Amino acid sequence: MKPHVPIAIYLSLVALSLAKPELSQTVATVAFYMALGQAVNIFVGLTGYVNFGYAAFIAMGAYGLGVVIAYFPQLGTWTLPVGLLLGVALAGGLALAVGAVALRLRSAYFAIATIGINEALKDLIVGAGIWGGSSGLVLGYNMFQEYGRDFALFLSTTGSTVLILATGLMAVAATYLLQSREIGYALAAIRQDEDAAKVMGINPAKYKLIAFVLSSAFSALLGSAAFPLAATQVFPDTVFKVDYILDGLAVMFLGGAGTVTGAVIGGLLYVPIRLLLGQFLPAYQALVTPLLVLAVVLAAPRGIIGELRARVSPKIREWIP
Amino acid sequence: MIDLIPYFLNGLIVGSIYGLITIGLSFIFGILKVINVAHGSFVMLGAYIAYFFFVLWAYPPLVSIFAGLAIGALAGFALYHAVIRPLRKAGEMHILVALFALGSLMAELARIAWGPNVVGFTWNIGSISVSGYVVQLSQLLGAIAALIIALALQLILYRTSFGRAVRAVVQDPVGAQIVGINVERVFAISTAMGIALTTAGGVLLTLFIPVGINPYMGDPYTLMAFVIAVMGGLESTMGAYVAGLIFGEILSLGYPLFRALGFAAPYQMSLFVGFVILVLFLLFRPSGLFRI
Amino acid sequence: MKLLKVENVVKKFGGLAALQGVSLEIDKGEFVAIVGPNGSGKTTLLNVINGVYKPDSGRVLFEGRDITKLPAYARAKMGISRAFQVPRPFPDMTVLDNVVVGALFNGGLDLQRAKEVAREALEYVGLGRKADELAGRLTFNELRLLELARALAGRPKLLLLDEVMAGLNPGEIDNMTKLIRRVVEEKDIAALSLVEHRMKAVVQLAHRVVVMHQGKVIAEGPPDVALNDPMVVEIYLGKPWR
Ligand SMILES: Nc1ncnc2c1ncn2[C@@H]1O[C@H](COP(=O)(O)OP(=O)(O)OP(=O)(O)O)[C@@H](O)[C@H]1O
Ligand SMILES: [Mg+2]
Repeated sequence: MKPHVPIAIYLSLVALSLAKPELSQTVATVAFYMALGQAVNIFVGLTGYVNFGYAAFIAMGAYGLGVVIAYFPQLGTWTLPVGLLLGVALAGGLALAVGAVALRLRSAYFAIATIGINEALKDLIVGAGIWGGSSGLVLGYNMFQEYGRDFALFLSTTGSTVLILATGLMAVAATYLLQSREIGYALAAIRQDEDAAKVMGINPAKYKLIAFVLSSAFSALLGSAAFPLAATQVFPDTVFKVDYILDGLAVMFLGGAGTVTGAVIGGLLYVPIRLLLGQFLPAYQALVTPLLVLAVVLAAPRGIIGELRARVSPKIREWIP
Repeated sequence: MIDLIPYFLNGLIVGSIYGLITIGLSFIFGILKVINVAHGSFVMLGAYIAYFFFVLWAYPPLVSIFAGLAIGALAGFALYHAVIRPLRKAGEMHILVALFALGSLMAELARIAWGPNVVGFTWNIGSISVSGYVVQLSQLLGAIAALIIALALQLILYRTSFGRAVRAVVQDPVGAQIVGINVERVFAISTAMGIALTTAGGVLLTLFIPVGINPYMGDPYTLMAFVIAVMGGLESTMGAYVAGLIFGEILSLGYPLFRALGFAAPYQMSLFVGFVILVLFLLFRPSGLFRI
Repeated sequence: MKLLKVENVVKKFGGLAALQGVSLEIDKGEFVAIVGPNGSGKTTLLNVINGVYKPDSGRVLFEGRDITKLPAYARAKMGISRAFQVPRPFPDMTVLDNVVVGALFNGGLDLQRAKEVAREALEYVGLGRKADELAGRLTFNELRLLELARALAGRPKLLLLDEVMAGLNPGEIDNMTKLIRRVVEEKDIAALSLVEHRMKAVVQLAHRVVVMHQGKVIAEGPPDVALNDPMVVEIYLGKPWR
């Protein structure tokens, strides 16, 4: 397996966003979906379990950084690394807790639990008025104070784009490493026949949990980048939007679930597809994503890369892991 | 001191509807082992059916429930043949993802067809008073209708040959096939019945949400039905109904409690408690309340 | 100390008692055949031994340790390997990778060693030339060999084989039986092989035969003794052995 292609695509996007800051917004959008698809792939694609609660993990990242910026201005510039870490810790901790409870059970229970966390966390934040409750966190003023005007503006444009790209790149590396090591064999076995895997000495809960926590941590970084950093605000209604999971699934399935390159290609195609269809049929834009997911799952469940891999020679297959 | 009795009565009545809404989910899972993550969108469909029958033709929900059952059954057949059957081989992940996308698609289609606004109607046929506590007659009748449908399902399951076939398939799908039961057909009819029950639940739900019908109303009911289904044992239809009653009480009694405790949004808090209950069940009693 | 000791195991499915107090012992270097008609509880017994099912009562001891409550994967790590009655390959993996999974997790080897051991195991069962094919493309008989290779690559102390010879022709049965017996003797491990009663070739090469009927052990001993037990003869429609 050679991870050069996906890595090269990411690096060219980094170069593009640094060289042409005016394109930063577009690159950020494309990269966000690429990275989201990759994060989804690490768990859903590699284990065959479905996490419907990605928005909750994105939200944990958004709130992690948002809360530190909002409530700990005395940390100054340090709010950035501390906030990112807090977001990852919140998401990872949540994944650990939910996974430990629900990954032992049948996959239906896991799906139920993950649909639950999204709603439940939002209900908790709004219901108990935590972290700004339904009125959210507005961070612009604090960010100017903490980072200085210029750096704050840089962070919310190029900075957040680079963070998104870096997250995607790390997710690609993680997918690649997972696939090429022992754990990759374990995950593939679990995905194909969990009971047989168990009889062969694999503890499914352990490997699923690792993938789940990793995938959640990457989602959290995306949440930090997209909301507090880029939008300078965190509202429960935007960060807990169920749409993200469908976006992530669309990108992953379009490109090819369980592959390294799939989400990269899927992400590159997904944004233009949505834009184009949205331009021609503006009233029906909201139908695009669910229809796309349905169509791919029903007609080409292996996705672009999956179908390609099944058709090309082993030598070329090496290059599209 | 708050008088909790009206909340208790309300919990019982609305719980009957929650029970009905959940039965369809448990029924389908029990037979096909597929958890319908598009569940809430079928509740939404039922609510719109009740709405249009009421505002267009002045049929009250107790009448449009039959339309709900019929349209739901058709939708269920379509769902089985278009999504579930083609994906059975591909595996559970694909079915779950397709159902999820379908749920979202239905909500978006509803928004395009019926507009994004919240709509509603009130069917007022007076109230009765039980030792000083007032109960809306329409809601009481709705709760009774839900109970009747739940019992009718038990009759079908335990008194008809179709019911026998269903139970045989649940016990041993391969064996059932061998003794000549058309398993495909049982699956298709069961999906149709499960969805019909769900849309019927959505129809009756409108008696409780006079201004709450909208394209995205289904999501909280998906979660609610999941919590109730797990409490009831996930595969048991009667368990789902009883758990629905209990959950109705939790939501209903939770409201004054959280308000008294000074929470910003007491209703959201009781929903959150629902999730806590789900986690507790998954932790300590994944087989549900009633499995001995 | 016996390698495996099954004590009074009872396993019920609803009203049906699939195992009604089964006890069994097996030692290193032994090749034991469990014989019994369809539905007599053979597979259920294997499932209790390797942890797919927890028994309702009774105990399972492995190397003297009570493993009744251990999950299947932990038992696999202790050295119990299993070949399924209906082959369960990982269809989207290559044949080699299927066996690597066994070597990695059942056998506890590192990836490098696991690949070597997997190749050896494939050669051993005669599936070497199929190593790089997708397991989903194998024929049924090849899948049986893959099951065996995967179990062997787990370097088991106890090998559980569930009717691995059903559907093979007499020549193949003969080869496979000899293969298993060779493994048992060369590697000094124990093998528990489930067979339908008609498989003379298997039974005759076993060191010991256990006859099961309706969830109970009804006879036990060297092949000739166990199978000529009057009760066994009676149960098999009065047809004497041979
Ligand atoms: N998971 C299960 N649920 C319910 N009943 C089961 C289950 N597994 C086995 N049984 C029943 O237990 C009894 C013993 O089955 P088992 O598979 O152990 O028999 P066997 O000796 O392996 O027979 P075969 O020759 O069919 O493989 C049978 O009546 C079977 O139907
Ligand atoms: Mg068997």
